[in-house]
Amino acid sequence: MMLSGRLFEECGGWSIDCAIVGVYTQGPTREIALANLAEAIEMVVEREGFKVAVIETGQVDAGADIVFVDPSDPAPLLAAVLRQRRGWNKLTLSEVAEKLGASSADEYAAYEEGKVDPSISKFREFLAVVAPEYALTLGYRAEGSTPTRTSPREPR
Amino acid sequence: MRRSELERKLTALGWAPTGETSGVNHTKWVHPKSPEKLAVPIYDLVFDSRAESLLGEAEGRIR
Repeated sequence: MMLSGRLFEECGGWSIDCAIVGVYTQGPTREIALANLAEAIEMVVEREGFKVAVIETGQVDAGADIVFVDPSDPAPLLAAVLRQRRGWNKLTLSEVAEKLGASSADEYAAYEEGKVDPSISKFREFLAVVAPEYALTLGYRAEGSTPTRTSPREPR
Repeated sequence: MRRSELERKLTALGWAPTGETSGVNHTKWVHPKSPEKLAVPIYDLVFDSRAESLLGEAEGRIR
């Protein structure tokens, strides 16, 4: 499972983001912007050994190039999505459990902690509660798209 | 927006940089009301769309 992001030119450099995890960054070159998105997401996820590759798709939407964020392990990244969106929408763990019809928040909490990798149907169910403004979609991965490096080689 | 200005605004919202080792091109910021950290680019000039989005995130997570 990958998350989508946007890359576009701004002020002579490149802006890039993955809004669903609240990451917005930039770079003086396209390559560094891609590496910076990887670094910022890895920083927010904060999991030992967790890495992401940012993949250029060759697709353009509303003037921005679409990129995919491909995690080494989906569970911590999806956990960050759930935590970030639940916080943004001001829901407590108990409120989420209640909306899910669960008797306790423990099961959901395990997903937010990245201890369990959710199935697609489970993640879709969670997303409908903690982030109704987002939808789970399948996207076309352009042929020839190549993973970029996973973290910056050097500053700037 | 200059990074100093962005950092001043983040600080005014109650965010603070962590003492933890940060990335090559970002610093990690925390807020007592937010379980999630914020990755702030270290460039002297933070592009306007980035600064506005980061401030929106910073404010939205603690409102």
